[in-house]
Amino acid sequence: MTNITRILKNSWKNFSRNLWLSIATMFMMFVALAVVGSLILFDESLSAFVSGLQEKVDVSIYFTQEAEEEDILTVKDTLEERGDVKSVAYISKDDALEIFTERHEKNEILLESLDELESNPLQASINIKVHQPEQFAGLVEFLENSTAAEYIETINFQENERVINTITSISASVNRAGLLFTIILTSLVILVTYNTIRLAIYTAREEIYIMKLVGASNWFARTPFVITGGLYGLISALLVLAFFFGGAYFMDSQVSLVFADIDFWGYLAQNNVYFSLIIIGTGVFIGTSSSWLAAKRYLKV
Amino acid sequence: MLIFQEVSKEYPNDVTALKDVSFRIKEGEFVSLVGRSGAGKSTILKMILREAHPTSGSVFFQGVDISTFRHSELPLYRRKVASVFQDFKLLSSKTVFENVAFAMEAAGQPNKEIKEDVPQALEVVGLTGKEKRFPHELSGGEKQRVAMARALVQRPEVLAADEPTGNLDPIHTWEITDLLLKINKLGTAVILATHDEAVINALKKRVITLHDGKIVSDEEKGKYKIK
Repeated sequence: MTNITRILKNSWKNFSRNLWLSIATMFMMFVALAVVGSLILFDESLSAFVSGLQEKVDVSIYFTQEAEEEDILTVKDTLEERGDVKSVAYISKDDALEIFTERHEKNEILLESLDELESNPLQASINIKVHQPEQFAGLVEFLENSTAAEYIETINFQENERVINTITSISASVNRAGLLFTIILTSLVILVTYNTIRLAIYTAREEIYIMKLVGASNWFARTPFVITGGLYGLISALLVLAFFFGGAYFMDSQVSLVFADIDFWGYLAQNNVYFSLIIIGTGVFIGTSSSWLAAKRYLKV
Repeated sequence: MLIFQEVSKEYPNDVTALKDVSFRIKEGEFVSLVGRSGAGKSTILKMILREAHPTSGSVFFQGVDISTFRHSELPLYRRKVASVFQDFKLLSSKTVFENVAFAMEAAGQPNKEIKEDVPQALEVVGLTGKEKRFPHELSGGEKQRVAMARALVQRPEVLAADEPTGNLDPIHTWEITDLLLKINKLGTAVILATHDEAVINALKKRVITLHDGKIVSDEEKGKYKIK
């Protein structure tokens, strides 16, 4: 117990008596952790952006005039049972007419000519959304080979296909680039923090050597540095969190104007525990493990 | 108590620091190691502190070969063998009091004893009233006296002193030499490496003279003979 109080006291003295070194180290860790936080937000806004695009992509099946509502509903049921289908919306002939009239309510000539016709010329359709854009191709193939094929007049997949393929390949390469980016930046962050702490401990190498000579155990000599490293990480992490939450709160309205799908404040408010734990955890982990490793080489006395 | 048995130390590139060195030091003895730079004095002290290891031969402390100590036993051994150095080796971020207390803290001594022993040791070395100073606020002689106080509170069985007066003027040299004799009187064996002729001749204690890593003479009440 006395030992633990002594170690804690020594940790605090390391921190407070080398204040400038502490501040410099924490500044570097602040930058490093801010990079980690930005990566999380970048990934998040990227996937929000891509899934926003994906959300807008769908496929419509238009049915022939002869198709009975019953047949169409059977197709709808079959589709709903498929795992790759996210949602199916049935738009009956009457619904289609209503939408059409509404959309063109100012175009009187068009509406008048529509009234001239005795029957509703519009087609019933089914609108399908899938989880992944690349699932569309399989779905279309399934429909074309099914018994329902005879009622189907057109599937507008071909028209959408180019857009869908582009989005699919963009989101795939963006994810790949994002992963690479994350790996490179994270390694950089770890390297920079480790070296900063190594420098801080290098100035204390003589101290560790003397501790060992007067009979301190490795544990007694090293633990204060590990705790100081953890403290650097914790304080930097708290500053980074204040920076991010404060920044997101004040900047949010401006960013949302440009990118409607990106909502930093909303994301942070919703994931505050997750985000805070990642930042604090990373800070404390890098701080303590770097100190542990850096002190190791000076303990060999 | 401390036995060097045919100890040799070779560094890479065929540099021989010690060659077949054997001697015994009894409890409470005062021994000076004399020789030019590079004669092997520091190597002997480093081996006593177990900072350096013999290439061949063994060093025994109280009958145990010190190279056999395990990781966990080493700190216990180091608490029995104190050291002072030419460059003092104080912790620059700690005050005088803390520097002395540190050796006791590392040894796990209770706070009560630290509060009693440290002021006592500082009184012995004449630093009462300077407890709150940092090393950079002290003169060389004062720094060495802090190091002596740190050695004192360890109540060591051996004190290895490596040129402790090397950086000091004559007056401070005598103060430190006096303190070494005081510690010796308290029962600690002192091994003093030095090339200060005046100190050696005044001490009239055992002198081991080294030359090129070999012992050339070992005399009770020896004199400085290297010219």
